Amino acid sequence: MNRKNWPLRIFGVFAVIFLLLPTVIIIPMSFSSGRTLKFPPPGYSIRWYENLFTSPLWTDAAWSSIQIGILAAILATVLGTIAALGLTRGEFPAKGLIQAIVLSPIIIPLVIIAIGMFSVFVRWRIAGSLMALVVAHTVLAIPFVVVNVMASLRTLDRNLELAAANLGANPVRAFRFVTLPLIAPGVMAGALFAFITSWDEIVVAIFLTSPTLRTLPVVMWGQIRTEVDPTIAAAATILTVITTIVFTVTTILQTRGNTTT
Amino acid sequence: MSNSMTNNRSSISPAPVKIQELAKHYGAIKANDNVNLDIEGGEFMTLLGPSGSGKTTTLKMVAGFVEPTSGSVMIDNKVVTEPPHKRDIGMVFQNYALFPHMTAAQNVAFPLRMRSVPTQERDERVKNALAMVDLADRMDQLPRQLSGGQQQRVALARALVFEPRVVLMDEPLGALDKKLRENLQLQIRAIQQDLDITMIYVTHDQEEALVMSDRIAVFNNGKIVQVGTGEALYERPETRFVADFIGESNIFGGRLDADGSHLKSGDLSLAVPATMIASSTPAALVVRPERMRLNRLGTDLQGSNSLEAKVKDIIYLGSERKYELEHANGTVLIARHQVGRSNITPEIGENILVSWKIEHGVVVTDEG
Amino acid sequence: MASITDSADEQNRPSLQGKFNRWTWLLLPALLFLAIFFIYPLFEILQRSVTEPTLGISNFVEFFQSPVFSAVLFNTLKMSFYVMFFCLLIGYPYAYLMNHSSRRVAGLLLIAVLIPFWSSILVRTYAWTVLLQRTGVVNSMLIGIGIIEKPLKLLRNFPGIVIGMTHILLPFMVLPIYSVMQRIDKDFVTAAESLGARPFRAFREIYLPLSLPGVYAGSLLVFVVALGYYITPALLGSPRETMMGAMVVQQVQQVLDWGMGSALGVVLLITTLVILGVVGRIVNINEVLGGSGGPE
Repeated sequence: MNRKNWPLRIFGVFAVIFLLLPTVIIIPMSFSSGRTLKFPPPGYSIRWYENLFTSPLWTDAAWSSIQIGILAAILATVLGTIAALGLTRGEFPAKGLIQAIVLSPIIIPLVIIAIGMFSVFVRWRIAGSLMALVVAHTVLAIPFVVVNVMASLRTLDRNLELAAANLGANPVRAFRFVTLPLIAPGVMAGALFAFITSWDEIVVAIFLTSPTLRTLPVVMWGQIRTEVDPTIAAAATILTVITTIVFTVTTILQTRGNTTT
Repeated sequence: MSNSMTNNRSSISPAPVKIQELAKHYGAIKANDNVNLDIEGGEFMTLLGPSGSGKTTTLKMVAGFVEPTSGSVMIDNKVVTEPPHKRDIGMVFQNYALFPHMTAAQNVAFPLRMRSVPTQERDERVKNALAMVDLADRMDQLPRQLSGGQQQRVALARALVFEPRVVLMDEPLGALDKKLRENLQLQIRAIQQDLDITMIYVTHDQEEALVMSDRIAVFNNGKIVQVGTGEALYERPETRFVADFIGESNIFGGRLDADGSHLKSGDLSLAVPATMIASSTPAALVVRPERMRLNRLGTDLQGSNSLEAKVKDIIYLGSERKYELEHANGTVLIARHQVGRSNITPEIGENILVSWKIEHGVVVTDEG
Repeated sequence: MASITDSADEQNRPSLQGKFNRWTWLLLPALLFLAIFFIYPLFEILQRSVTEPTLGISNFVEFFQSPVFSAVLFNTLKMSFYVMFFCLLIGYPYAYLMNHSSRRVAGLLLIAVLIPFWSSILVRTYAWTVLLQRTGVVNSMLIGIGIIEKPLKLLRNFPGIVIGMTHILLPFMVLPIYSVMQRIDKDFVTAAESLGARPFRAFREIYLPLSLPGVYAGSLLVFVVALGYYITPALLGSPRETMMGAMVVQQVQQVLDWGMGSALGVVLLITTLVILGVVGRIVNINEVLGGSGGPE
């Protein structure tokens, strides 16, 4: 807005480089032809991707990550959407506290959640199972669904539901045919956030995975600390590309949700 | 150095403002083009026009918030090029722009602090300014604790407290309800006259402009189309736009005949008063509804235009009646009469003769 | 319209039982789920911290008497503070720039914040281990420009962690500040200038105070989230910079002392909650998390 703020603009360029460099730099490295992680790479090849896609260690992990992510996203979306309705429309004492509890998995240090769940799940004999990771990631993802759905609900005109009731729809049908379609972008965005939360999650996964069931980040974590070959960079690129795709879809959904409501 | 602190403007002669050839283009879009306006010291000048007509852009260029593409603004016979904070112009914003983290008194004190006015004098002036707008008892309240009308008055006090050379107001009453608005219109007008300050006031409400202003500049499409007193604009509009925008009108669009005595509008030929407008340009005849007379059919009307029309509707407006009339060719006319003052009181569906004296018609250019 | 809503609320009211309305019940499934799989595990940690190896607060006594553990806590607080400071240093002008750019530039700046925000912490930390190594991009760039002659040691030490964590937590600073700045009426600064304030003074007296809620929210969030970090310090730091998170994992996984590990977790949790509770009255968590969707 001002011609005189060029120092601020130069700062902005550097800040953007700082923010994006680590995400971007991984991509050329993953196509390196060399055995070590050097930038710029000595030459380009897709050998590390071949390695990634043919090694059962990585492919099994990717498959587990996808399964866990989808199941956790579904569970978190159902629970979170219903809870968001309760939080927005409900009237009850200590509403602030209840809301804080629902959102608190975001703020409580993950290590504590991780050892707590590990301790309990071992006793219940579910540690190391797919179920355990789905449940754990659902806990972590619920807040993101709640926040997104609440944001859509707040912009929703309540009179539309009253109109539906007035036209003869019972509460369930009014929700199904009026409310849900209108908050769908928020619900979808919440679901995608939930998937990403699970897809990228590492701390809880370190504790709850077993040698027979590992997620992609857990395998990466193990590899980073023992090996240095660029297969990790290839895995990181895949992880980032998928996250970016999901994120882009989410953003489009959110902006569309904002303009239609 | 134009140091705003040493503000030794003489309070006897308030500053005139001269806007010359002012233009603001955003790429191909001309927000303002060729705006010229002379405002006398102490005058209340209203910039009136529909939204998007460029009045607010002009105001912002005077304040220094928008840099003109070309042209200049002179205050007190000197061209102003200073940044906004050195211009010494008071401004009341559309949504008041009261600083939400400061009390009413702190808001009003702000311009004085910026000018390093000593504490004691500052307190005194803040108190006086707030007393002037009847808010002496609200000094320590935050903007959100005040009603809309009170916030508006704090904004006014803040714009006046440093005795600016000129005060600008940008739709300052837009957010208030009708009753409050009318009240504040009179209050602002009274304060402006009391303090004898030059005021430039932006509004899209023609009634507000008529109530408050010494003169009104009517904007359309980024340009000033006419400047004059409210009465001049109402009685002697120069363009169809002005006639239409200010007050209600019956407008017949068409062309003058060669000798300029009649206007042809469709199948009508209407006698018009003498005019400078050439027969080659599109023109329109404007007649105000209160100038329309209703007569029984067959009445002899010398020196008047008359048309036969059917009464479509009668609207009772308290002190007035408004008649909607339709001529056989489909032209709809409006007449207004004080209750009890019209010569006849027709019923709906009745055929009558509607007439107006030739000199009560005004010929205007019809830009399109 | 208002009257329709009002009468609807009145219709709802007779169905209320005491202070609850029927919507409240919708919270039940999520709360039940969280109670079993989230709250209960947290209580388990609390319980283990005071029952293992014996009933009592011996673990906590040991924690505060041991110079090692206290140093770790202090180290954690210090690290979080540094990270918060650098995030603020970069985040405030960044948010300001976002708010004072054209729509398109602001959008690009927002995406530049959001992409790292949603990409994996592990991937980003890993990228930093590559960038910061002795022969890494950062060192070769600095040598290239001529700022330094010999490569700096940026990995497995304090600066390494600060750089990595600042990068990862920067969005938590930028987003709340940005969302608060967005709500500051642009007319405020123009008004201040028309009332005689020079641009810098207008910023200091009007814009800065009005943007402080965002600064508080962002700083608090960054500080609190930094406290519990485990992955980034573990990969970018050395044992000398051990933070609470890593210590908890160490006690549980390597020392197999669940009592002490849980006690450390409890100290970390309480530290987090106390800071949130004391400073957090100003913070609206929703604002931060909901702010990821761009302009409101």
